[in-house]
Order: sequence, then C-alpha cells, then structure tokens
Amino acid sequence: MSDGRGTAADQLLRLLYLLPAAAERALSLAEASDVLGVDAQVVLDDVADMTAREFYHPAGRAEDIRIDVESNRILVRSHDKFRRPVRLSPREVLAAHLALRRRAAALEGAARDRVLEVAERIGSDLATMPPDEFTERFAVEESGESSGIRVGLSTAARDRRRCRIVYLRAGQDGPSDRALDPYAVLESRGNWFVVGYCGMRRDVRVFRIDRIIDLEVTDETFERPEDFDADDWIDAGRVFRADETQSVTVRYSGLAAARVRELGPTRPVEGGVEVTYEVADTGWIVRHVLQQGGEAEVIAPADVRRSVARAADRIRRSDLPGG
Amino acid sequence: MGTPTPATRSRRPGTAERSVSGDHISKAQRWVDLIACLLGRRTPMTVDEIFEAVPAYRRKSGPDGAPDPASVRRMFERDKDELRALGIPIDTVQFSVNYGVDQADGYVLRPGAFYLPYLRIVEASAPGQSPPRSSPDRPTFTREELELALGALREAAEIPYSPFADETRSAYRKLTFDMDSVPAESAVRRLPPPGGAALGAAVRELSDALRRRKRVEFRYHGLMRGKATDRDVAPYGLFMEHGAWYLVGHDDLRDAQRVFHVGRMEDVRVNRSAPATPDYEIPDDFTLNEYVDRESWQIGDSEKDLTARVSFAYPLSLWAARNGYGTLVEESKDGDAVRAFQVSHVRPFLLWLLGLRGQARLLEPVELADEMRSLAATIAQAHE
Repeated sequence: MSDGRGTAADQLLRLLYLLPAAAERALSLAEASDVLGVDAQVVLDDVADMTAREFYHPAGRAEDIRIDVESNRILVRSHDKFRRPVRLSPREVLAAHLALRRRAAALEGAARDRVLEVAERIGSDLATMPPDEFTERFAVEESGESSGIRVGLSTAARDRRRCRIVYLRAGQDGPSDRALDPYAVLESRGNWFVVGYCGMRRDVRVFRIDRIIDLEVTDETFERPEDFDADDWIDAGRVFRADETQSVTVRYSGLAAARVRELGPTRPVEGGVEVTYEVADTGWIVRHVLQQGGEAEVIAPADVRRSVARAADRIRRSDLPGG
Repeated sequence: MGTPTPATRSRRPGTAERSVSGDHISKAQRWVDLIACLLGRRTPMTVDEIFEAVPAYRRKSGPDGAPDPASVRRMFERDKDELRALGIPIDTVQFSVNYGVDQADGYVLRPGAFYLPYLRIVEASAPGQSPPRSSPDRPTFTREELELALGALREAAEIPYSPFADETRSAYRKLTFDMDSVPAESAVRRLPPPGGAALGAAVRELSDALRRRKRVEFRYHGLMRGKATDRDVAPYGLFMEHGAWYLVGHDDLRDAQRVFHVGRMEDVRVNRSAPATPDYEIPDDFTLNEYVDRESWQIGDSEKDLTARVSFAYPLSLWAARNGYGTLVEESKDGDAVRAFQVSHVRPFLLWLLGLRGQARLLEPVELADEMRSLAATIAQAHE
C-alpha cells in the first residue's frame, strides 16, 4: 500500500503494541507515531479500525477493548485482553540474534560467549515459539579486526567519554597518540569513520577507524558542542569535508561499470561510464584508480593522470620476484 | 464510546476503504477479532464456535449471498497460517466433548504463550558467576545484558536496507516496554548506499524467497564478465559484509554454489507458483560461516588455491596487523612484517595490493608477481 499503513500484518503488529502501550497510560499521538515509526494519521486510522469494531459486533461484544482519542491522547480501556505486548515473533528473534551476533563478533572469549548467551535467552524466554533454522540462514558481519575499536568508539561517543587513540595517518612515518572526544561514528559503503575533537590538532577532525591502531576509553567526559551536526561531514552520501577540492573525471570500462554503479551516479559514455569526483586528497583517487586494475583512466586533470602513471610505474619497477 | 473518533473526521482522500460503518471488515480487524475471541476462552474453541464468534466469518457468503462454509473455512485456514507466521501461537489441540465420549479438534491461544511476560531486571552478577536464572515464565536479565541487547538492536536498526529493520525496531519496543527510561541515543550514523531503494527491495525479496525456499531469477552484472547474464538460483543464505549484501545459493547456470552481490542484481523475481511449497532443499552440510568475515579474494568457490607472501613496510605493517590482514610470518626489528595470505581469487587480491601503492610488496609466488607487473604496466601506459 502506498498510504503508509502497509499490509494487514503491519497494521496488526502496530495494534498489538499500541493497545497495551495506551492501556498502561494515555499515550500522546506524537509518542505513538514516534515509537511506531509511522505518521500520526496512520495511528489515527489504526484507532479508527479498532473503534469501528463496535459497529459490526453484536451489542456489548466489542467492549472488550475501548479505545478513545481525546486531545490527541490515546487511551485504551481493556479488562483482560491486550494488556501486554505479544512475545517476540520468530522474525523479531532473528533480528535480535543478528544484532547480538554482530556485536559478539567484536568480542572474544567469555565476553563473546556471554553476548551469544543473551541472544539465546531472548529466543528461549521471550519468544512465542522457538527460533527455527531460518536464523542460521542470515548473517550480518561487519567485524574484521576493527570492530572492537568501532564498538568502543560508538559507546564512548554515546556516553561522551574522552578517548586516547593511536592513529596512523596515511603517508606518515609512524602513528601518533592523540586525545579524541568522539562526537559521532559514521559508516559509508562499509567504511567506518569517527568525527570528533582532536586534542593534537585542536579542531574537529574525521578519522578512518581502520587506521586507529589502539583505543583507550578514559573516565573523563566531555560536552559535545551544541552546534555539532554530523550532516556537515557528509557530502553526496560520503563522509567527506574539505575546504578545497578539485574535480577529477574518471572513465571506466564496461567491465568496471557494475562496480562503479555501486559507488554513485555515473554518466554513460561510449564503451563504459564516466564519473566526476570532488577530491580533496589526490592519494585517494590514485589509490582508487589503481584498484580498478586497468579498467579506469583519469581523463582530467593532467597532474592527477601523471600521479597515477608514476604510482603504477613505481609498482611495475619495484622489486617483485621473477622480474 | 463517548468520544467521536478522530479517524471518522480525519480520513484522507485516497486511503483504503475504512470500515467505520461496519459494512466491510478489514483483514486486520478480522485478525484482532479472532485473537480476541481465542484469548477470551480458557478452553479450546471448535471451528464452529470460532465462526460464530468472529463477525467476518459469520457474515461471509458466496456470490449469490448464500452462506458459503467452504469459503469461510479457507479464509480461516489462511488467517491461522498467516497469524502463526507472524508469531501468534495458535495451537491446534484435540479435546474431549460430550463428557469424554468424543474427541474434537479445537484451537487455543494460551495467554502465557502469547503475552510478553514482565522482565525481571537484576544487578550484574560478579565476574565468573553464571548468568541469572531465567525461564519463559520469569525471564531475567541483568541491567547490563539488557542495555547490551538494546544497544545492539538500536545499532542494527540503522543498517541500511536490512530486511529486518521493522522487526529490529519492534523487538526494541518490546524489550523497552517496561522500562522507565531507555538508553541514550546511539551516536552511530549509517549512510544509505546509492540506489538504496531498489537494493532494499531486492534484499527483502531475497529474504522472503530464502524463508520460503523459493527459487529466484535475476539479471546479474558480474565483475569478471563484460555482459550481464540471467541467473536462476536456489537461495541458501544471505549475508552483509563490509556494508554490502550477498546471496549464497545454487546457481543453475554454473550448476554450482555461487555468491552474488545483491547490488549487481537487476529485476529480482521470486517464483510465485505454489507459494507454500518449498522449491528445493538446502544441503545439510551448508553453512553460511564459510562465507562471512572473508575478504573479497576469499569469497566464493576457489578458482585457485595459492599462498601469497607480502612484505608490509613500517608503519603500514601496523595497519595490516590491526585489521587482521593475512597471518604474520615474520617481523623485522625495524617493524616491517611479512604476512601470508590464502588466495582463492587472484584478481581481487592483486587489485587490493595495487591500492596500497607499493607500500606492500609481493614476495611470492612468481606467477602473481607477473600478473601484478602486467596490471601496473597497463595502468601506467594508459596514463602516459
């Protein structure tokens, strides 16, 4: 359906939450809309469907549940039915399993086992029926070795805890120790970043989480500036902010087109596609073109073309075996 | 009911027909009526009792207006199956009637199996102690465990185009139902990938196909071939890795198990015939763990099985160790490190190495070094 109410199943699941929630205490329309993630009008339509039951039930039969809306507050009166939400459905258990398995992947040993045990307990003690084999058919793994630091930074950002990081900036001779007040953790296309106040630079900076070699979350807390907005660090779906950029146009072969389509909008050209990037760091675009393995060519500007040629030539002439 | 309902005064044009007059009973209303009538009875209800108690069944008639018991029965059976799929535990039971002389089939919805019990929240157990005793009647969690679960759910709800986004949010709502305050908002923000709406629709379709074990057809833009191919696949598993969704399944075209990047699929179609009957069996020895947490040169069936050794100059060696790339073979005093990699797919591995711009040097095998030189020469010539 296009009116936001979704399917009958969506509506039923909303009602089975709304009825006990509004029976517990009067619920404002805004609260109901927020917690259910739908427009207020959708909530009103759901309420109307419940009140309409009294039109088609024999007198008195529909009074098992009474639902009123007064001054934009929803109030449910029910003697014995729908006083509690429903236990978790198999798909909700699966969702909880996936979420916790993903969190467990960032841990090791006893800590990991404990998270998995919580997932099991949610399935065994809170579900309407035991989880089925379907649970094992899904995985959300974004872990790698970096997930422990990512989770640590996410928690520190949420709790406003100051961190110390060892950061390896590209092109530097070695890593540097910095104090970091993490403001937000951002993910774009599988790459994770943290934006925060850097004690070394005395300014807000963005850091690639895979380049944070070590993390210590301290007991010190910080205040996040009220005018901080994570959106300021996002541009065209990428985590990106720079005062000065240059336009770089790259042409991709038809073979690379499928991969490039995943990255963003493309322009079709004969034999492939073209993309124009706004680039702050030439190193990024050189790396990107090298990773296309001859299926991409920088069209302009000339100095970036030369940088790619030099980097490729250096690899070709490097001390590779059999050369 | 004393108050005029806002819905009667605020209906929008274009919305689905509402049932304020009672002329039409919607499916959701019928389901609420069925659940309410089953919950209202301590003993099992026969189908006849249910048909009498639920107005939509009582009223249902055939095209000529006459009662149509067969069609009512079909409607009830569909409702029961759909509600069970949603997790409403309607049980079928046999029970005695006529003072134990006869047996009858009946349906029951046990409040204990239906309603979420109150969560007992206890303080953390000491390190090394076993978790709190918990049971379906008295589910018990420590505060820390509950916060952990809620944090994980909150973060998972942000995963772009997760086929379980709605369920993740509703599980969160239920776990917080009895809490006076909920944990602070997550500081994690995930950016939707380009083409996201189509990607989300494809992931949901595939998820549905996997659940019901129905075959799927799609057009696939593989990376190693210049043209798209039509695929007919029996889905075995779906996973997200590095922000991208992948389907594992048996591919008819290659007659083998394959991994497909969902972002490279077009026109995903699930077999609509016999929706309640699975199209295939998933092999007993299939496990999704063989595919997850792998690098691009390890995902999918092996085309080669090589061991490559790569030297990482300091400080890139720190980065390789930190992100778990390969296995450490040796480390020099100045911090350089040699790491070994198992390579099933050569090209993705070489492209990854090229992106490191010469700071990681391939030591062996020679055949990979030859390919690496050739790729670098092609790129250099194109940019001269």
